[in-house]
Amino acid sequence: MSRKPATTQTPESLTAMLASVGVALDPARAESAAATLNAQVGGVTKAAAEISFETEPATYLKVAAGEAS
Amino acid sequence: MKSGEILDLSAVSLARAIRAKKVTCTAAMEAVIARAGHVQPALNCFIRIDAEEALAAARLADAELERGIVRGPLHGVPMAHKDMYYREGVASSCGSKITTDRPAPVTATALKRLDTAGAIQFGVLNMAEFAYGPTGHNYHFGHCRNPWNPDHITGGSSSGSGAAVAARASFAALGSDTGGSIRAPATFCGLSGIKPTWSRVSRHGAMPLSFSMDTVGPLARTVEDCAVILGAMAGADPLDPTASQLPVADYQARLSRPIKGLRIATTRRYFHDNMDPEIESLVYASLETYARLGADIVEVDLPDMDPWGNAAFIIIAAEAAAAHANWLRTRPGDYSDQVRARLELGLGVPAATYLESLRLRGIALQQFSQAVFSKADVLHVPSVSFQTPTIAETDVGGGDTMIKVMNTITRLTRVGNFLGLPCLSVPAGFAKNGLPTAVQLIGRQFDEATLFAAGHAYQLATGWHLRSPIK
Repeated sequence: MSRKPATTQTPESLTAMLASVGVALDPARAESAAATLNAQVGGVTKAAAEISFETEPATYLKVAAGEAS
Repeated sequence: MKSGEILDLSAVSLARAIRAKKVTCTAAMEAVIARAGHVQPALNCFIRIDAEEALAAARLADAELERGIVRGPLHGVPMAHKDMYYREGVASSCGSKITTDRPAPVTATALKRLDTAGAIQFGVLNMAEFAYGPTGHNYHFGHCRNPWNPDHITGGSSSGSGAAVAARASFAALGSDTGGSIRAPATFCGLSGIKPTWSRVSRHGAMPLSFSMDTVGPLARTVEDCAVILGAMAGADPLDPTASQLPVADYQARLSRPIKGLRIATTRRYFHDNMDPEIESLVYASLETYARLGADIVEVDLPDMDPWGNAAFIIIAAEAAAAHANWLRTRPGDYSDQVRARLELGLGVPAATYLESLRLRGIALQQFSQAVFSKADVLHVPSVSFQTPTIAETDVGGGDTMIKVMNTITRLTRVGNFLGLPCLSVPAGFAKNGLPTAVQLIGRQFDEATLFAAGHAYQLATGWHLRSPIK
């Protein structure tokens, strides 16, 4: 089954999301900002298939600290 | 010893000369302050020079030496640091307008440990605003310029650290590296620079950008300097619960480990995509040097690393935005367009994507380690894939091409931060335009010692690091 491309943000949704946390996004930047985010989020989404259900977000910290078994 | 001869010494060589009483701490400090004042108009690498306090500290260090007191391996060595390491009561600009009048509440552990080792701080250095830029542009304090050619970028975010150390206006300097901020200026300015394993050096009192990617490390003229400076700073710190408890190796003692038989990996994937041919030939020449030194060169195949670059972008963006959210609400006009635009992106990252990016890190580290370290001790790759651009070419502000420029510069470095692995950048020659380039050596977690030994052997065999932009 083909995966739908990630479209995380439109210029309008991004503007609304930032407004919801009290930050005003310059309308001139909204389109390129949304496109950038969608490209980066899309890359992560593609790789996310390799992450098992049980993988904890904190695991990497233990691994990075050299404490993993 | 004449002033120019003093300034050409590495930090470790100067420390030896001071201990042998061939040079006084005061003479070294006077020389470096004079050089700093001389290069500042052209390079704009300093934000502040504390001449009087530093000279007083140098005289005290000389008096201690007369009484037989040697504080540590860097006794009397003058250093300036990226202006993001706090000294209690003193404002650190962080390259920004926002923190310029905000006295620091604490002193950074990294600075305290360098003080204990005997180094004397004499100033603070220019940097990208909030360490969030890889070029060396700063729209508040002015752009920093490359000592090899002031039309070209220094790299960032530790731009002043790169320019000042290369220009012999500091014997070494602290940088910080979240996506390549030590390795980019080390590469473009012809210096050695170590991004240590994440958590190897305490981040207490260091300006935060992205807590799970930030690392503290030096830029210096030699790998030996990097080894001694990192050795002085690394280790557990009760003030930073994320700092590793693992013991710190004696990096300097292990510098002369034999290279014969060391397994050095090379790869055609990812790191050699779209390489400038001139830079690539210098990278391969460096690999041939290692082969001549007796290292075993091994080719490895890497997993698909492009998504890791995306995940690194997401993590830095989200963590930086969280750190800055309050000022984005209350002082948006005090950011440059570029930094504000980048920080705003992070506020649009879905929480689930941020967490997926974190969850990917352990998996990516296992895959990378299996691919590289099951066959080799060190991975040898370029630090950048292109020739050093000009300041004008990369002056993109907050416009549409900003992310493309940023991502191109950090493509080969930010995966090291994502994986948390130590990466040593070592000068590897000069392009025909006279600007330096570098290779990076990537090692196992907490195995900085092997990187230092490999880098030191290369410097003994080549001498690229000895060239100076100062005529």
